[in-house]
Amino acid sequence: MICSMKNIICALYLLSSTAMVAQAPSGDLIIRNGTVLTITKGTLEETDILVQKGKITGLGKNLKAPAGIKEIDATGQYIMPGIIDAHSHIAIDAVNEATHPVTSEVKVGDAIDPFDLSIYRALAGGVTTSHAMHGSANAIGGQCQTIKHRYGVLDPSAFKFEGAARTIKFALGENPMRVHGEGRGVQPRTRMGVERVIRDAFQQGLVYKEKWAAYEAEKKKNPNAPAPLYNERNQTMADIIDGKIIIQCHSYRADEILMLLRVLKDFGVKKITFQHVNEGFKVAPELAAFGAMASVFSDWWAYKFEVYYSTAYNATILTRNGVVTSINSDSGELIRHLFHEAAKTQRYGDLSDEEALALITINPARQLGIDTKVGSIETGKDADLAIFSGHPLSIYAIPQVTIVDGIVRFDKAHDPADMRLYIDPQESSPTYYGQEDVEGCMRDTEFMFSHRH
Amino acid sequence: MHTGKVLLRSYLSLSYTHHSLTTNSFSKLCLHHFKPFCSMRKIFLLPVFILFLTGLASAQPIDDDLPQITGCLALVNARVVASPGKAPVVSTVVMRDGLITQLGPNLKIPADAYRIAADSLYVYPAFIDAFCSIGINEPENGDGQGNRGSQRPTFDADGNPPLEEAGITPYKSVRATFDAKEKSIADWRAQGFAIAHVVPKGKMLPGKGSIVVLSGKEADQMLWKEDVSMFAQWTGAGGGYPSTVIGIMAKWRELYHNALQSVAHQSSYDNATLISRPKYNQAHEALMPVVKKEMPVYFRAPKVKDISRAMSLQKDLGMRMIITDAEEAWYLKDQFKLGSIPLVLSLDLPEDKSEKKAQAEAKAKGPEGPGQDGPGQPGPKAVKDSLGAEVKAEAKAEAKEKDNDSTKTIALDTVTFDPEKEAFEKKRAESLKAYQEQAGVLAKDGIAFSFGTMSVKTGDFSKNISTMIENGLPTETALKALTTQPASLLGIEKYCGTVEVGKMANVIVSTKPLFEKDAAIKYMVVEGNLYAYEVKEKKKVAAKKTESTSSGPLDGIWDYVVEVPGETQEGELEFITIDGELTGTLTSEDNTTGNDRTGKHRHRWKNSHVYI
Repeated sequence: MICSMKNIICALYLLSSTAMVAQAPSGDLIIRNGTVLTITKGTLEETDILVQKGKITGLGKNLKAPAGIKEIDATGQYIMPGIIDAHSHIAIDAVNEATHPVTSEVKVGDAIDPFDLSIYRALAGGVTTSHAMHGSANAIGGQCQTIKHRYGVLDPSAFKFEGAARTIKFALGENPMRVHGEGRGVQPRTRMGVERVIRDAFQQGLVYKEKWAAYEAEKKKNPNAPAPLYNERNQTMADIIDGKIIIQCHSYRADEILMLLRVLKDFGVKKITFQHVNEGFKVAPELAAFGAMASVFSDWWAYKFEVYYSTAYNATILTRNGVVTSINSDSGELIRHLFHEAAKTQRYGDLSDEEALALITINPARQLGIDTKVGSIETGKDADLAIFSGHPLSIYAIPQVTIVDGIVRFDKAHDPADMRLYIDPQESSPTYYGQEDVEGCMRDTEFMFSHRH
Repeated sequence: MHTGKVLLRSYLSLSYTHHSLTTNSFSKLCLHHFKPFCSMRKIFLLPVFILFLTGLASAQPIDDDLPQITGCLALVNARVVASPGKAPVVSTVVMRDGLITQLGPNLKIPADAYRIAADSLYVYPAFIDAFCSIGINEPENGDGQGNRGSQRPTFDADGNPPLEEAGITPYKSVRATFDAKEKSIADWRAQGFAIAHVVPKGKMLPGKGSIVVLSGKEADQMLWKEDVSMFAQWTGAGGGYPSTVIGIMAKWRELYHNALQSVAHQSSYDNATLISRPKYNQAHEALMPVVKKEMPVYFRAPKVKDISRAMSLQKDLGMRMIITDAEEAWYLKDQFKLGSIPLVLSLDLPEDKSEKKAQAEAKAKGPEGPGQDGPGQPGPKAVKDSLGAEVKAEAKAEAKEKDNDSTKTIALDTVTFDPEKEAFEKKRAESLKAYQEQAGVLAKDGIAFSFGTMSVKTGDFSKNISTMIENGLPTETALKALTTQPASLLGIEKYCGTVEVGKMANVIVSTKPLFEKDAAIKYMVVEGNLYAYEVKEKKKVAAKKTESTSSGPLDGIWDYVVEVPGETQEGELEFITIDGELTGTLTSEDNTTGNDRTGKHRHRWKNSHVYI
């Protein structure tokens, strides 16, 4: 499969489609005669999908297409909406600003890495959008960034999902306790401390909000009134209280999940998705009553004490209780087979095809505030599509083509061995072989523990 | 990359009489002295070690000041290239009291002039360094590691470390750490530089840059225009906030907004009544000229992502920004074409690490080559220094490579043909070429740029310029980027950058046209002060070549680890023997996550646990 000529051609192709442009690139194409899994509107057999300027403009049989448009024959193949990963850390160069228990002002969107090969690997698994999250070192971490996998574009800002909701990482339990309590000798050292830190931060946000409101009022009378000190940390907390940001909270235990719900109630905050939420099945009715959402692993737990207890039925129980639930990867490897992860809910819980696929499409879209744009195949939505050789919930299905905004970003038929866009001339060996960066929640925090013992 | 480099360079560029020591005793001595230094970070031991060596030193005069008998100097009948692109014209240059006072053929030379018969020599405007840390002598104690360890960290009311620890010192000036006797001043002057835009050392906002004349005995004579720029970079505070690029970005936004508010508050306080006194904040105060767009920000952004991020910050906040020390600007040339953000290119180039090169070096060394008892396998290579007076032999022993498992695997792989490996080598070669072609490609696209020496070793300067010229950089553009371009960037084009009457008496006197093979600097005149250099004959050079390839017992790249309770810092210590003179550099790692240059750093954590 390795042919250097092919590499070059591919690199050229990529570069030509990548010139730095202010607007995200989009394309036109038509997919013919596939089985379309719309997620929201059932399954359509032998159907065409017309894409113009990156949007789905037609859905039906024997559609007329403009002359010369790129055509993909999907006879015998399945088309589903591009998969959405609600929890990942790929494509960013910094995950944790772990030097303070509250860092609501930092934004991982400032550290997008357009060269991260993980983006291409995710595309190869049909994933078109991921939620690049701040890590879980701090009780209140930084703001996350929903990105589209436009691999090949060099401008980092062009990866940002236009119009996506603002999201922020919160973290309960052992990670913030360890990093700050043990690592730095500051609050929080216990679960009680985590609650205290979060309450204090909200309180600061309220005080800040009032200060600025008073200033704005004063300014009307006296245009020379001095402004209070600008503080993006507190401003962000105020924005959460004002419902402008969806909280994405790293959590495991039922008790701490209920604790946060109480805190949010006290501050009038309504928008939250719990991440991991391994004991979510214990408090599913409470989550549903609050309107909280949940993003879980299919079948992964017991990797540390606070996540000792969970079940592979978690996603099903949450779904059956009316909680908007998604299955996420939190990993540059797992992201490539989220369709397998979703399929596990049919073995553990008997979810229907549509319910299982919703876990990796429309549900994460709802959690990220992008469900009007992606997550299902409907006219008017973004042409983010994944074509599979078989039904994506079958273990035999293989992703064939992945499309973002009408542009083919992955094609199994043209998949060169070396897809790097950035090559370090001093690299001593091909490090891209088999190497996977640690993409976990706790990246960039190791130095916080270095002085222990 | 920031810590200790200058510290050691200044100490380590020392001479010793090689033959007066036996190989064994010397290496023992070094190990003995270096281990404690490394593990305990007792820096005071280093000077002791240096003193010991300098005691044996045979001084090597390169550019001793000639006593100035008269304030008038005449370069008689030289071939003068008055500005970039001009053809050489035979003229006499008369300089008095630091200025060029007369220029032309058949001049009446003043009677008190010190005359130099320059009829076989070329005169050029001396170089202006757009971005560097020449002359900064800073024993670094806050070296990006924050306050980890047994001590409890100190925080302000918001739980953030104090400004100094956070690396937010925009109020600092070059003067505080500028040392007129610092070795780099003479070194860079010998390479043709007369003026330098110097910035202090530090973390995210180290302080303000100043324009320095590279001649004089004390700082007051040399510091010409102080606090002309704000220096910023993507270097985090290590253990303290901000430690990552995302933290630095957030901090920038906060500082900028508050500086803007401070400007408004101050103006209200001055012009209206019943306004409370503005609370003084050193950082906000220092950033006021930046938010008023009176002072440009020189953002150090070597890698493409560094540049993208700096540009997006500029877009958000609107400061005047200059991208400096750029190594990968061609990725974003469409943005630079717009011309709104000036560019200072790095003069550093990546090393050729290909196998072919390694094999060629190994062959050049020969089977009976020295250095078998050294830490590695030195592959010495004679390099002609086209500008400087000397030929330097560069011996790079890559002890690290030898221990590296991956290199071993590669060695085995070469037995059989590996198409994957071939493809990799090809891509790497193309990538290397892209760096070498950067200046040429940008020039072709009409993008104006200056050069800065911040990241290049003195010894690599002319070699790298030559490489760039071989890869498409026109010599005229090269000269521009070293003279008129930085002059207008720094707003000093009225005073320097060309050889004209009324300009500062800053000229290079070269044996051949600049950038030509075998060209060497014979004299430097900096603000009228004359520096003479010994120009060696080519024959001598050839004879010396064999001798100079002998490598010292310490030659090679040494890994070091500094361990203090609670943290370790690793880096490389490189020793090179050149004509029996031991020199070297210490390179440490930048601790900021999210920077390109931390790739190494991240890999080190590869085997750590994944926390979820």
